[in-house]
Amino acid sequence: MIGYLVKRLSLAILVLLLVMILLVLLIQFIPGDPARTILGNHATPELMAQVRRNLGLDDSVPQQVLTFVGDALRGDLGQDYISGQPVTSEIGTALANTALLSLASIVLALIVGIPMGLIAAVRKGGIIDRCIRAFSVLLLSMPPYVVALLLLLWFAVDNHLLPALGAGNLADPGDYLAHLLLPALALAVFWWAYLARLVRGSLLEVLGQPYVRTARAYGLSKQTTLYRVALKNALVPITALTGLLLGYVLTGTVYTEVIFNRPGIGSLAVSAVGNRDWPIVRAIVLIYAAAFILGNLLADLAYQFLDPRLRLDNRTEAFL
Amino acid sequence: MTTEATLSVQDLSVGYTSAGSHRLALDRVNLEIGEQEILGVVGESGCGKSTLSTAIMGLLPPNGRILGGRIELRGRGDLTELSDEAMRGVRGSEIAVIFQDPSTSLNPRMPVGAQLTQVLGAHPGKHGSARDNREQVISGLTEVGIPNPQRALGRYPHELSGGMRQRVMIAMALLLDPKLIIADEATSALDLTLEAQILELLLRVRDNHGTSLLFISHDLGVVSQFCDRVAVLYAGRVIEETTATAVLAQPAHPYTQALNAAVPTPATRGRRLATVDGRMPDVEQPLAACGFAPRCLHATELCTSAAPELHPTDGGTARCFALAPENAEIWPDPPSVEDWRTADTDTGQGSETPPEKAPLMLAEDVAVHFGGSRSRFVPATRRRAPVRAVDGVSLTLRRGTVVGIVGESGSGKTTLGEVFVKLLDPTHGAMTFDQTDTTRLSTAATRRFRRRVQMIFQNPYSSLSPRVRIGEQVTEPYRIHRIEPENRRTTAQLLAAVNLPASLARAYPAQLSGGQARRVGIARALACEPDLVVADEPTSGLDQSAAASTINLLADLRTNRGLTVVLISHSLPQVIAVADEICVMYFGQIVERGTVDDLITRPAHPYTKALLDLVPDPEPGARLRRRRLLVAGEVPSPDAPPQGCRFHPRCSFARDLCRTTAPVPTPLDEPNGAGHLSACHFAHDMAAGTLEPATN
Repeated sequence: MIGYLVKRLSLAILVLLLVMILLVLLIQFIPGDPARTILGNHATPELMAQVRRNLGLDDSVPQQVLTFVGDALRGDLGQDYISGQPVTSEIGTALANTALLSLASIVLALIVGIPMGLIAAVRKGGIIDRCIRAFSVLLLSMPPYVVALLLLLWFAVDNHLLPALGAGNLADPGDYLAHLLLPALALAVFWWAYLARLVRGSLLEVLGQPYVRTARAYGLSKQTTLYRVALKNALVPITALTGLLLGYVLTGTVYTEVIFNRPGIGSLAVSAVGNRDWPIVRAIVLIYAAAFILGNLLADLAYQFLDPRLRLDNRTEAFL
Repeated sequence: MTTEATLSVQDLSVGYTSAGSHRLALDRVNLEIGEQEILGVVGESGCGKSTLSTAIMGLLPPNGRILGGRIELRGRGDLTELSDEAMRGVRGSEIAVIFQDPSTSLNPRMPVGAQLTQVLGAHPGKHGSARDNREQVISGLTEVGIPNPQRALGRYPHELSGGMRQRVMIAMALLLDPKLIIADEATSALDLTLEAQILELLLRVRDNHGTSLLFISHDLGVVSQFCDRVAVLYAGRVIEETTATAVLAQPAHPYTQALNAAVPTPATRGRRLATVDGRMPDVEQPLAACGFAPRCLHATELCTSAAPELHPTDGGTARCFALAPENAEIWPDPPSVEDWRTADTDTGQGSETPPEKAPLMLAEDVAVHFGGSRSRFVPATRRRAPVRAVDGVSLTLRRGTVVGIVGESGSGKTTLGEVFVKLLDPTHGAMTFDQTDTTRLSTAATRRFRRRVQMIFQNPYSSLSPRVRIGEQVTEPYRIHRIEPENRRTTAQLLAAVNLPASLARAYPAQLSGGQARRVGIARALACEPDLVVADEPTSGLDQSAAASTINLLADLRTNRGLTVVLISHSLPQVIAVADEICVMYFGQIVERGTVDDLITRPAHPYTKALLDLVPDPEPGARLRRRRLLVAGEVPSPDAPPQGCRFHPRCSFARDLCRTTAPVPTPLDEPNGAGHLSACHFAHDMAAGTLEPATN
């Protein structure tokens, strides 16, 4: 188990390093002079020289990689050359907002999606199952930003139930939560649909397994069999997905933050792309990549922990 | 009905409804199990035997319904009238089931101890404190012969061997000391040796706890050895009920006789095994005729005009008109087992002594090792030894012969089969096929080799692609090997060669019965007319009749086409029925090899002798229950082979020499020594039958 942990961790770090190298190389692929592309046609030579210096474009490529990785390790992701602020402080506050939004939508996705799948499986073929299926198909086939816009229209514009725009004030938790709810919901509903289908399928498969029959044949009640035996087994593949959810929800914040006009790294990314603010774009891509890697890592470790059969020794493997 | 019966099933009818169609799974079934009695229920798949056990447990699926009848459990009254909650209290505590496959019947993500404790927890009033529960679980595990039960508590099912898992299942059944244990195909997935051990354990349980047993099986041989009385189910009806000895010695119903004739025994060598044409009918409502009449050799108009009643027989009762005294004119001679054998023809088994045939494939000192630490960075003390799945096997396959490879699971027989077809290359040793070294073939030569050597895989369903039609699957080898159209046979011809109707070509694998799926696997293997076919457990999971026809098919292919067949099986009787030569494998090595005659008449290795002793004996009175088991325990862990002779820890003849020195295979018949080989220090004494079991 420890050996596996070390192996997976070092692999994750390696992937993160590769992402960083790729990010440095990416600017080299921009046709023409990157500094001109960033600053536009009317930039002064002095300004262009400053940008080149700032991005380290005068150094050799390996040198650039070393500088970027070294700086990043020290927590320095460069300077925003529009505001002159360090990138980390620009991103810092935005990241807190986005992290809270992601977390809220993951929690919302899981606490509604899994029970929906559970109910659909238990009432298989019934009216509730069919309603959940219709709901899922509808949501899965609608682009998520359309769902976000519809939610915004109905809850905020037409009925004034929730505030429409902004992130609210963190000092006032009630206000902050009210502002959080709608964007989180917009991100989560897609996953309700997805999780409901997935949990339903996984649970139905487990319910057909002989060991579920054994549990019933030994006098375990229907409830105990469902929750303690079947659901526990059925949720193992779902945990793998939850890890990936982290990455997808984080990237999903881009459109939610734009639609709900929330400060966050998603909206920051959009404006940075518009402004050709390369250091910010680079830092945000790095964060997204790190989130995906972390999510995958957590999923793998959880899987390993939850399924004892994966803890197989090499020596038993050969004979199975 | 009498009150002292543990369980009495009266006129029980069970039906299933699905998508508007109705099926009658059990039709007015009457059974009674006395205290400490073992009642066997036999029949083909689909005869209703599983429905019987689920109905007794009150666990019929939502589309199943009890249409009539009673299930009386002593002290509980009619189970069909109990509430859900009351029935829940009966399950596990008064009636317990042991299921077929212990590897899927236990929760894979829960340690064994916790699963047993969970059962205790489900029956309040029958369990005490956590500490008492633990004691109770440990004593249960000890009783079923699990070594080191304290450690076993924390083990997950996959960490235990197949035999140990089934013991855990039995421990679960015993936990609350039920009145009745239902063993639903409880030994069908196990090897002959494990089966014998589990049966012995069940007998001990019966004797110590006074439990009654309902033993459901498709294996007439096992049922007759193990049970007190036997009921034969056909199309949802009990068609014969008799004593266990009578069911093999003098079965009265033609169907029981047909089943009986399909059991391979030493007496059926060189003859085709009996098979029954047709299929069991799907019954929608109580039949107004004998359900077996369309398949019966003795059927007359009478059989199709009315449903027969039960008539007394020597051992019990049977539902057949031919047994009624008033019908003596129609059937002057009562039906017998021999009737089913009249169509027998000589299969050519052993007609020519194998050494005279030319060799097709040679294995010389072949070994296959898996795993082990190869890295140089692992310190020598922590390096893991490889698993020696096959360890030094030399063998000659001669053209046109059937060579049987027998052994328990983990003996390396499947691995050896995979080496024959070059799915695996040996770690060392030489493989020669038709004078070419198969370990050094070019890509093109490998392709040609694959055309000539085919494998029939163990599980027919999982080795056929589920979404491709049968017709396409059997002709696929032609496309793979780019065979010219003029050399191809049609789908219908390929299917006909394995006795399947051409209409199946449009079906998907899931629509086939087990026996049909197996035949499709064989048809596919035969499409390119190979020289050698390796059949890995070709009858596992099949009913007696389907197994018999598969075995007949292999024998026909040898006789008619000169095909060389390697038959891998854990069933010695089956191999004896069809093979020319037998290799007995243990722990990666061939411990004895010889012609079938040599092995049966003078087994020269204790392991062979033990396997032979486990073959169900058709002689009345030769019952398993009083026999001392010659082979104890299980195959040891593959990474810790025993010192000296690898069989010695389980051998009842082992002496000091066996514990220190590994025996080498030696020919029994000097000087040519081609035939009979045995890897036992005392081979000659074993063969002569003069070796005494060790006293210590």
